[in-house]
Amino acid sequence: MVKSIKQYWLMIWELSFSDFRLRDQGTILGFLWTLLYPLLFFCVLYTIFADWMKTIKDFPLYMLIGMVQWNFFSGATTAAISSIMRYSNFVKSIAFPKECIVYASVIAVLYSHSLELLMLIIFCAIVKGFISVNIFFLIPILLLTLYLTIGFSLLLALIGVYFLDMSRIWSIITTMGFFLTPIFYSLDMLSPFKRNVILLNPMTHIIKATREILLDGKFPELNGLLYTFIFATIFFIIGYILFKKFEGYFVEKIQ
Amino acid sequence: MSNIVIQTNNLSKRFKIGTKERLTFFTSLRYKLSGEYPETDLWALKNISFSVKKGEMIAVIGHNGAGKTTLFRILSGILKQTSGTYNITEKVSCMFELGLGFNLRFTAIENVYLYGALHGISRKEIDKKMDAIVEFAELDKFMGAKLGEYSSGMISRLAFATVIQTLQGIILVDEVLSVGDIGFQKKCAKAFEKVLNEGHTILFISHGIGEEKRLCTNALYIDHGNQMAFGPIKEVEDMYYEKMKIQR
Repeated sequence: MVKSIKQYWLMIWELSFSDFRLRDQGTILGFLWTLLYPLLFFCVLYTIFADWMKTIKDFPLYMLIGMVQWNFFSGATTAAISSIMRYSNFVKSIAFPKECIVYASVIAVLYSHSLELLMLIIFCAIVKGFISVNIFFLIPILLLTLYLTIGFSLLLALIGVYFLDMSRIWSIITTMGFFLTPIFYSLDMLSPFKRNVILLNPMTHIIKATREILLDGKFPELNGLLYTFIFATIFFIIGYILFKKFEGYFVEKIQ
Repeated sequence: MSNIVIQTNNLSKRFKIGTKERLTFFTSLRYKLSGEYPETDLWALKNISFSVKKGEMIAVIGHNGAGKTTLFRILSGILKQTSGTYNITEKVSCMFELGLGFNLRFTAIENVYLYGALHGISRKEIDKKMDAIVEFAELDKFMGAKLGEYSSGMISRLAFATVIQTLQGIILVDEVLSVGDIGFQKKCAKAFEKVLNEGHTILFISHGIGEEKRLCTNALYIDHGNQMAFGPIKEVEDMYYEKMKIQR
C-alpha cells in the first residue's frame, strides 16, 4: 500500500516535470516568457487603470496579487483540458491511473506559479517594508487554490477528451472570469447585489485572503476561505467520480 | 490450480465505429436531437476463454484485424471489456507498436525514466538497469539524443530493451519482432528464452514462422473476434494455415 502511494507520486512527479519541460522547451528563456506574460499584461492594465483606482491602497501590488492568483487558476485549467490528448501516447500503450496526467499538468503550472508568488512576497516586503508572520498562511491558501484548480481540471480534462471545442469555450469563460473577479477593482466599488454575485466566485476569496496577508499583514478572514473549500470539495468529488467513471474509455476516443 | 496467472471467461469487446472522432458540442447536440448516430457496432472479440499457467509462452495468431491487439489491450488494462471477466494474478508489461509510449521530444534517457515512472519503477532502480538497457539496445552513443532524431529501428530497439530489462511479471508482445533486423530478432528470441527461464509468462502475437515459436507451448487462434482454437501450438497452427490456405 505504502509502495503504491509512492509509485503514484512518482508518476505525478515525473509527468509534471516532463510537462513543464514540454511547455517551455526546457529552456531558461522559455521559462522567462511564462513569467514575462503576466508582467507585460500587468503593465498595460496598470497604465490604464492606475488613475481611476486611486481609492485602492497600493494599487500596483493589489492588482499584481489578483493577477498572479487568477493566472494560475486559468492557466492550469486551460492546460488540463488538452492534457489527456498531450499524453495520448501513454494512454494508448500503458495502463496507469489517468488522473495522474491531470494532476501533473496542474503541478507543472504550479512550478512557475510558486516562483511568481515568491517574487510577489519580495515585492511586497520591499514596498511595504514588513513581512508579517501570517505569511505562512499563504501555504494553506496555495494548497486550497491547488485543490480548487484540480477539481475543475479533472472535469475539464474529461470533457476535453469528448469534445473538440472545450478549449475554445473555456477560454471565453476564463476571460469572463477575469472580469468577474476583483483583480483590478475592489468589492467596495460595486452595488450590494453585484458584490454578492462576485462573492460567489471562489477565486474572489483566495485573492482577498492573499491581499490581507501580503498587504495588511493580517490573519485572513476564514469564512470566505471555508466557502471556497466547500466549493472546491464539491467540484473535486464530482470531477473525480466522473473522471474515474470514464477514464477507461479515453483510449477509444483519442487518436 | 494455483499456478494459473491468466484466466479469461467469455471476454468480449464491442467497438462503436464512427464515433472515435471527437465531436464539437454542436454536432453532438445535433446527433442527440435527430436520434441518429453515425456509428456501427463492431465486435472485435467474442467470448474468448482461455487460461495460461505461469512460465508458459503463448502465441496468439489470426489474420489482420482479428482482435489480437484488442485482447492484449484488455488484458493489460488499457481497454475495458464490454462483457466477460478476466483474472490476472501478476503485473503486466506490454510491448505494443513499438515506441508508442515514448515522447519524441525527449531524449532516450528521459523516455526510459518516464517509462519507468509510469510502471512504478523509481529513477534509482532504473539507474541500476540503465547500462543493461543501453547495451541491449546498442545505442550507447545516442542515449542523449532526442527520439525524434532516431530511426524507427532504433526506437524499437530502445523500447524492447527497456521493457525486457524492467520486466515485472507477465509480458504481452505485439508483433514487435518484425521491426528489427535478423540479428536483433535473434537477440530478442534469446532474451525471451532467458525471461522464460526466469519464470516469466509471455503472450505474443505473431504472423510469421519465427524461431521464437519453438518456445511456445500453446497457441490461441482468433478469427474475426471468435476463438477458433486454443491448444498445443502445432495443431492450432495447422488449423490456421489450412484456413488461410497457406502451403507450408
